Amino acid sequence: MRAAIAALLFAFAHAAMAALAGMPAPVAIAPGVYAFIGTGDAVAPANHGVVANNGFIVGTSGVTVIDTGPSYRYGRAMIEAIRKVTPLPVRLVIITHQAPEFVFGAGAFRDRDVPILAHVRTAQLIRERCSICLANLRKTLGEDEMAGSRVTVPDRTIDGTTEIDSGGRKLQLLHFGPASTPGDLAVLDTQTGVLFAGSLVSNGRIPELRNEQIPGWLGALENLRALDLKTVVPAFGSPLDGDDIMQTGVYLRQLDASVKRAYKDGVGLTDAMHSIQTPEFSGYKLYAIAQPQNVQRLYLQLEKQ
Amino acid sequence: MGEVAAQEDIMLRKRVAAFTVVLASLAPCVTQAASPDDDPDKVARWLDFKEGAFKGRTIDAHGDAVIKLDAPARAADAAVVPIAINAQFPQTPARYISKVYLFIDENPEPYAGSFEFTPESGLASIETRVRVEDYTFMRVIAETNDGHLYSAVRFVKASGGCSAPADKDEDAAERSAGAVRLQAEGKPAGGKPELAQVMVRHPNRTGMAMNQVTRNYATAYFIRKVAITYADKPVMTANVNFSISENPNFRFYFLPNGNGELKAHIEDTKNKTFESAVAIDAQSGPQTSAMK
Repeated sequence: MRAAIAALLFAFAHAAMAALAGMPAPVAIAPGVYAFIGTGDAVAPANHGVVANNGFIVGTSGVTVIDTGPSYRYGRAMIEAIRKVTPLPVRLVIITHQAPEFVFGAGAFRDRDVPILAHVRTAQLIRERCSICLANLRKTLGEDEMAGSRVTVPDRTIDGTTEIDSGGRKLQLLHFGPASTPGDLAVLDTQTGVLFAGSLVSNGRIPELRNEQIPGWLGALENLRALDLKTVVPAFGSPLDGDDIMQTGVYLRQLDASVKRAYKDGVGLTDAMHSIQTPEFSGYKLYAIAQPQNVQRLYLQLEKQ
Repeated sequence: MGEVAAQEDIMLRKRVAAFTVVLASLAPCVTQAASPDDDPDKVARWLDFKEGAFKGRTIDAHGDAVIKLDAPARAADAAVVPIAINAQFPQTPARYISKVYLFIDENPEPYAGSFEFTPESGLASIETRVRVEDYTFMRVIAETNDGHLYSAVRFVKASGGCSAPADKDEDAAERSAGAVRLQAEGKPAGGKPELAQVMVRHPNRTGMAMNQVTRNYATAYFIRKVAITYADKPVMTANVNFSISENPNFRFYFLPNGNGELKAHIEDTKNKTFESAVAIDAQSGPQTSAMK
């Protein structure tokens, strides 16, 4: 049995090594703060699903990981990359929200007994929904890329904004109520003023509306803007500073207004999906795929009212 | 339920049950998903249906001059995939589309239903939302009054489910079932096809989805018939099943002519019937029936 487990672990380690080529090197954002910046594209075999951002914060006694990528293999590769930066152990993983590109590396940390923290609603959504996301990712990326990946439900939860000490670093876990998802967290490193914004902010990529409440989301962005932020690591795209986070809000407002207008004018759903554009954002990543889907989502919500 | 309908219902249940068993046995394996590069004319399930339903009749596979199908290439929510079936010419007594069949190859029950039209429909176009299992070809077959068949096909990649809303209370959904909203969309003008919409609040349950909280399967419960008349003449009759999304919604046309009543008669699989009517005055503005 033990030999079997060892063989299995070796296989996983081997798999992790194989993916290192597709893995971005960590970018130093501020002292002790690193981010892995994904391509920002849609998940596809060519990018190994390495599309979203994640990162880690090195404190005096340990490391805090923020989001875990799309697969077990990616989680393993994160661990390897962190080890090259610091010998300190990973003390905590924070999952900012429930979305397939962010949660499936968590299994690699669970296997090393690292606690995994999320908002209670995120933990619930992972438990209820992530088996479906996992099946979708397997279909897109293939069995090999997703080898060892499993639904890993966070074992620590919070239900509101919380300040923690993790690895000797003071972190604020900010929750502004249901926004881009019901359980969004943004992680602020108080020492450097770097914010991991989770799903609240994207850069150069339109967000996929999956579980959002637009008024709450806009409110959360206003709250973030009011903070004295040095650098913001978005869910997708390059790090930003200050007011640039509002591009996500501008998109949401334009989209929301256009869909409401079309709905009021009696435009059918199929027509609305073809015709509603937000030209300012048409060059953003994912626009061709996500724009009609976002229109559909808002349109159907209006219909239910 | 009539004897024939009851028979069909039993057949349907058997097929679904058989399919579920097949699915369960395949689950651990890697299933071969349909691909847009596949030949749509060689899908076995389609060929079976085609043989059974059309018995060797020729189907013009390039029916673009008769019927077009509009569906998203990538659907984010497999439970609600909007489709538009667009007739390419107006209905006239001399030439009209009498029936449109909808078939979704990879669905547990691929035959989603049919829509019947008359010259009084004005235009045999219809929009609705369907459930789509997986990556699949979706096809419509239009039958014209001279007995010819024309088809249009699209490939749809439906995934999603990651963001499906939390499971709702099935009992509450069932209690609130049946509210019907029927409305004309524009300003009806005599002799010009007028767009109308009917929406029914209904869970339209497949009977195949597990409630993630209770881990139970709620039984299938869906709208099976939507019959629309204008001035007591049929304009659109849908015979459908659970392939139609929750809260079924249909946009269709009718030919207004002076004053007349647009009526919806709806039946579900528990033999409940729901009705709605709206008076149409072909001169004045849009009208809506009260939500009952």
